[in-house]
Amino acid sequence: MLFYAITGLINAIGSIFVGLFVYSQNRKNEINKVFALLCLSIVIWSLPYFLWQMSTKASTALFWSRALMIGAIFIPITFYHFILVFLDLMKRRKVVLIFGYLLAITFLILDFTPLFVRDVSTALNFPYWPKAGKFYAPFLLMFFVYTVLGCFLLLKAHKKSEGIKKIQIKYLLAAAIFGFVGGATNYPLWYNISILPIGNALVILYPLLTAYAIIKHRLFNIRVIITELLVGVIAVTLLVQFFTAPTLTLKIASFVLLVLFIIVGSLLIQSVLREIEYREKLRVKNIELEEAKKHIERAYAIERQGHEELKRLEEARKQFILATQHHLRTPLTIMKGYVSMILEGSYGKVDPKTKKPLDYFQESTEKLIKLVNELLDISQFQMGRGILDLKDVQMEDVLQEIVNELKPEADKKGLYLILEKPQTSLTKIKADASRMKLALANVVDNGVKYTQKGGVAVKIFEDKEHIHLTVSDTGIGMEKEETEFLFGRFFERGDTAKKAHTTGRGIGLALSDQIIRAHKGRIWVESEGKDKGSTFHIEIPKSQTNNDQSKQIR
Amino acid sequence: MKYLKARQIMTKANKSDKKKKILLIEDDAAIIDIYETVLKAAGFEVETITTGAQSIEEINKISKSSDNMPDLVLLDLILPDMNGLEVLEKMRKNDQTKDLPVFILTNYTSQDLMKAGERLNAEKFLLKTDFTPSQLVKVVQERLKH
Repeated sequence: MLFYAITGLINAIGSIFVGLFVYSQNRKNEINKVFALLCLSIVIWSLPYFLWQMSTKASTALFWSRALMIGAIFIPITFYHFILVFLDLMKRRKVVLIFGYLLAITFLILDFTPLFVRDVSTALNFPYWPKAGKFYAPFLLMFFVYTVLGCFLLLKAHKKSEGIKKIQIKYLLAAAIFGFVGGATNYPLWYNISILPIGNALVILYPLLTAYAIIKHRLFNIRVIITELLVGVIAVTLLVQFFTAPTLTLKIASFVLLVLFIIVGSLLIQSVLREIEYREKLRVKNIELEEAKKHIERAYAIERQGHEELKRLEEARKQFILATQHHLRTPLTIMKGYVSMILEGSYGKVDPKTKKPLDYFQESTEKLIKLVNELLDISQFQMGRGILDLKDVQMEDVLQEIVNELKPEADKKGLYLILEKPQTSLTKIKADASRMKLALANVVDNGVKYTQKGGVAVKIFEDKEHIHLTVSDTGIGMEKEETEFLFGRFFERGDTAKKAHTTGRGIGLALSDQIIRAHKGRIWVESEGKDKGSTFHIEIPKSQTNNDQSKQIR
Repeated sequence: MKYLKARQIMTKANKSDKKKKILLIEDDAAIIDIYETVLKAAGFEVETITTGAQSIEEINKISKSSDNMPDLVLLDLILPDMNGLEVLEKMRKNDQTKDLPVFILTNYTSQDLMKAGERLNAEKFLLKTDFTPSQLVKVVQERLKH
């Protein structure tokens, strides 16, 4: 049974070494302290285990088998304690822990009575295997419950944690499985179940893996321990050789060898340390990188989701605008179509009596169509968040087009409509050509509409930073207060709104204002008062810097 | 003499000239009534189709015999079963109808749709409320005169 004796000895020596080593790494750290306590329990179990296996008398075997139980009783609870400290769960599970320690103390009191270890007798090849007393089964239950609880906490934490902590927990779990499954192979024989305690050899993996998990991230490694052990063993051998050398020459030779070995050995340990330190740094960096990668991927996923959501909303917005256009304009098309056909005689000559109401009908339909067009324009522009399709635009050309288009109407009313522009071309500006044309056409059209005598003069010029436009008419003019709510504040309630209605100006100017402001420009109106004409001023910056709206989805 | 001869040639030409045919793809009954009435009064032959499915059928039919080939298509964009642009796309994919002159006649003012129509070679993108029926007839006559 020497094999089992040796496993016990290895467990004892290994745990002493690992426990002390981890404790010496950081004496103040609670984790290291509790781990040392756990190692102590293992030592108190495994050293008597060795002595029990080596016993040649039943009475000593019984004594040592009871002694080893002292350690065994405390292993599960110190393990649980260690897990709580490691996972920072002490506060929440303190009661369970204290209860476990109280249980352990109870078992400890019972340990040296037959209630716990009844006797020793032959089992398989073991001459003195202990037999379980009445209280042994409850101890096994505690052993099972606390180890499973500890592992369960580790598993739960493993799911939530990231990076180094996750890896540490993995090691702790592996350690617990090796250690406890291995150690548990000792129990069947207590109840005459013929299973060899073969797993005892695995127990040493428990302190080793746990220690590895604790100190790994502090740039230490089990490889250092092995190297140190190896160097130590060889040094001791050389020292023994030095003392036992029969001749002086051999003594000197072995001394020199010893000194050389110590130098080389310490260099070896240092280089191993450096290499491990380097690798460890690399590993930590890798883990950090992996983490960062995961975060970035998550961020991308969220962004993609947001983008899709935005696209869906954009699509819904477009559909809404289109549906509105269709539903508002279709009946108007029909009204306009029939009234014009009736007036043109498609259904027979029109009675002079009905002609007048039909004319009014037609006129109102046209007004309504115009209003709907303006409303749709303005809502389309607003719902499109005022997004512009910016291109190089020659502003005086846009104005020329507008003047040409409105000229017939001005001529019909006997008004002049002139465009005054510089001899040389103006600087091109970045603008949404079709919208800009709409904005300016509204202003010029407004001038033509509200002027009965005289006419409208449009003027364009530039200075260092702006393109300036003025549209001066000799029309109805307006009171000073009216100039303030002409653009956009049309929809206000109360007196101002009423006043706006009396002038009957269209909502086109509100749209002009929005478009011009979207181009970072401004529009305002000046008038000397009623019947004294008005002058609209428009100012548009030549540079649309910081305006990357054209890149957005339309 | 000369005048008389010219007149004879003209009448001859008129006789051999079949009525110009217009294919109206539109689903609103009142609008169909308006356009059919004015176009027929102006001397055009009008064939009306009210759904996308019928339009596809018609495309297949006219591609088999050129007798039925219309001179101009007036295409609405809202059909009960299909988008008018889909009909146009099918038309452009068919060898017989790929060059048919098409006016899109709609109540939409959308840059996107206008561009899509342009890509599919629609000659005009007309807003219905912009035209009285007789103004529309003028636009059609302008396109179909030689």
